[in-house]
Amino acid sequence: MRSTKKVREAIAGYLFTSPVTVGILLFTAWPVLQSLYYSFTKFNIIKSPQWVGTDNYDKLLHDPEFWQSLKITGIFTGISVPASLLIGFLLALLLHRNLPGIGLFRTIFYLPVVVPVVALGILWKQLYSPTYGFANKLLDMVGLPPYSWFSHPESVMPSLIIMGLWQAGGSMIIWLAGFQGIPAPLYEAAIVDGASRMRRFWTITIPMITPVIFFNLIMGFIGSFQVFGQVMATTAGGPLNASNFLMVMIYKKAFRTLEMGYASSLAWVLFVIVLLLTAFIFRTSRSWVHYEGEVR
Amino acid sequence: MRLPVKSSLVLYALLLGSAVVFLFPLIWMVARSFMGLDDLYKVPPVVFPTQFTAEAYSEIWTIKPFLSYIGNTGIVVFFSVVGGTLSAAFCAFGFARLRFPYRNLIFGIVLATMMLPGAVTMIPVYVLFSKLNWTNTLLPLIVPTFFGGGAFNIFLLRQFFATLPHDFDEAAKIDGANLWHIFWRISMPLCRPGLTVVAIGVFMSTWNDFMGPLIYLSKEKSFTLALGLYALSPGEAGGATIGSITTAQLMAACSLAVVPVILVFFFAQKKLISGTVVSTGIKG
Repeated sequence: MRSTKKVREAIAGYLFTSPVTVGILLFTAWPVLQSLYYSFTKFNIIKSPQWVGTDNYDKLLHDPEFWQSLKITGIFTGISVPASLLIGFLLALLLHRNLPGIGLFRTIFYLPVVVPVVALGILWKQLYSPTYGFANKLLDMVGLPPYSWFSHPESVMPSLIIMGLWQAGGSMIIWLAGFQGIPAPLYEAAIVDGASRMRRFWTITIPMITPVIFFNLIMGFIGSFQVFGQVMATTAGGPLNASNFLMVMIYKKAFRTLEMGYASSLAWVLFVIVLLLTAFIFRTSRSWVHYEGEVR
Repeated sequence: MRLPVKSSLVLYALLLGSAVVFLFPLIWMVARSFMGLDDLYKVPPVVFPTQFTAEAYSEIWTIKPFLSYIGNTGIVVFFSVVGGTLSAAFCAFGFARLRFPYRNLIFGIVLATMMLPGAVTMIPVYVLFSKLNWTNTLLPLIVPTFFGGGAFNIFLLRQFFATLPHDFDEAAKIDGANLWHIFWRISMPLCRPGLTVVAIGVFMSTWNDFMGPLIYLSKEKSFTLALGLYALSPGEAGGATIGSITTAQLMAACSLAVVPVILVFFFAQKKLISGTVVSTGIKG
């Protein structure tokens, strides 16, 4: 009697979860194997894949385009992830009060995050336009010379980073959620003990918020290594490959020049990098992430 | 925390200053969409139009078939929101309320898929849809959403379902309800806030989706709004550029794509950015 009940519940469980298990088999598991196979072939979708061994991987090791791509993706990630976490954090600090109208400010800071990426790209191309854009007008107003923004290889990266920082509201709401999760009695006790504002910030807020820092870092790294839309909608990799990020390069190899085997091997290298970075952050997290209620 | 008047004045000043910075690009977009040619090509540029004209908004419809783009986007969004939300709820209920062998392992695999870069599966999935002759139709953008609606959404809804007291299930069972009733009539209505958040999230991500349409759609009659806009953008979009489009028309088209998400966002912002939903997600 009892065991048939258990079996029934198990069958129901598999049925309820079947959309995602079938989905993962169809759209993740099988494609992952297939892509691994493609990465060892010459494949242009018109003709069937031809096995070439490790040729694609040898090629990418000696491909300056790949190294350039990896370099700029790394630089972008290294600057924009910490910078946008910091800005999101500062905004969240400002917003974490019960003041009249605070909800409106939250909305305003989050608004850029919901702007569709193509509109974002077109809009920022206009802002950065050398003659008719606002960016250079602003520089002029504070007495600085005009900047080349998207039109020169050296200025593309800072321009993309600034554009990305406009969307720091994404990390802001996660910080806010984290602040709300800190129990008020901790602060009350500290005030009774005479702890100063700074002291409370460093010994309560920061340690209690470390899980959020961790979450934001992981999400930021994973997202930033796969930057695609905001580049395609603005510079599409140019000028002179200066914004040829990994995902942009993979897309172009796969769908513009139809080197799908080579693109697959690039995708696998991207995957391994993301995996290693994530594993690294997870490893170091043991020493700096504090979980409340965790037994040490 | 209660603040003295002086420091709250400083705080408001800081907030206002940053609000202007964050709003400015959107103000620029809308302001330019109402400009005539004289204002658009002033050097140095002006922020606000000296003469308001809404001509750009009436002209864009003849430049590109925006109605057809909007129709296509509407179809994708509608089916994705329904399919994504329902199938995420379905799976989340299974993971939260039912016991079966390897449940935690399967759930772990679901979460792990979030870390896999889209680049890895992109090419084989494209090959699959192209073999099915689904390219240049909306099917590749719709069909996958019916398979679970994304790991993050399943995770979020699982948190909601897990907090419902088991007594409800027991009481319903005594009244003769089966599992389907418990799911559909009892659990789903109680999880409305979570379902709303998921539905809005799916709405925004499909409305804003760019990479999917870029990969699968190359014929204009199947374009979504995001892709149509991209084809309008000077200098890109696989050569499909319009030489004579004005900045005002371009900004009007952008505003057209931005306004619906902003409206939905305003309507839902209390739920989305109050942080409560996000925090149930993080704490696990």
